[in-house]
Amino acid sequence: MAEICLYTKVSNNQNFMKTKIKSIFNRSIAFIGILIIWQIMSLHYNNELLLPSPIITIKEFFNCIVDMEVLKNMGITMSRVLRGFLLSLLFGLPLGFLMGYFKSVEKAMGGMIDALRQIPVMAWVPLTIVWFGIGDGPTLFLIAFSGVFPVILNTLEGVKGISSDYYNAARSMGASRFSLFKDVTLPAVVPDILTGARISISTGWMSVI
Amino acid sequence: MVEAQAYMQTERLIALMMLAAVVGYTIDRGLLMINKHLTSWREI
Repeated sequence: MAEICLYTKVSNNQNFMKTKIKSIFNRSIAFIGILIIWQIMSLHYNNELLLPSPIITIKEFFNCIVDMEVLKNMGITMSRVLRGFLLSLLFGLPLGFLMGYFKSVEKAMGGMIDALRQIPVMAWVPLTIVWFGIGDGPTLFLIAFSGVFPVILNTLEGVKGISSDYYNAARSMGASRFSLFKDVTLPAVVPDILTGARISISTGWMSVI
Repeated sequence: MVEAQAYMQTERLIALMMLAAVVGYTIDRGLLMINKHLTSWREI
């Protein structure tokens, strides 16, 4: 019996290794393919201003990694993204929960939110400079603004997607309103919130740069 | 990045774009790991 277990374990490990190696191989092929196409294109144009070769660019990439000025600026940017992201969670989560819980709030706010999120972030730049002046204010607003909508929409969909059977089952066992939120809604909606957070931080990172 | 753009340093601009992609990817992977950890009950 022990031998069979050991054999199964070894076989599983081998399968895992094979899948991992295959995955790394596929990724390397794609990466090398892009590098080759890039090199051919740069040789074709033969103009460093238009398209520098991958070797020069990769060298510059490693120069950037050790450049203190670049690292300092990267740190400042990351701190802004993090603060903007936290702001988007601060406003997005309560709003998403409220909209998911109460149909009236969704009806009141839904249309406005859907309209607001269609406005390009760059269109807000002049206004935010007037509102918050020069400095971190406009940047934080833009990061929070671009990140708040994925948080709201994912939280809203998460709350709405919870089956009423769970609520009924918890109520039949005497759960209070707070307990329903803490033990049913919150655990069920966490995956959606985290998906919203991933999209939010990515859009924040893109908009800050 | 803006400086590289202004001085037409294309190789530096692309290198900084790559750096931004690497940092963004790392943040995303970090959040994905937190996601997997917090929602491990979903994995069958």
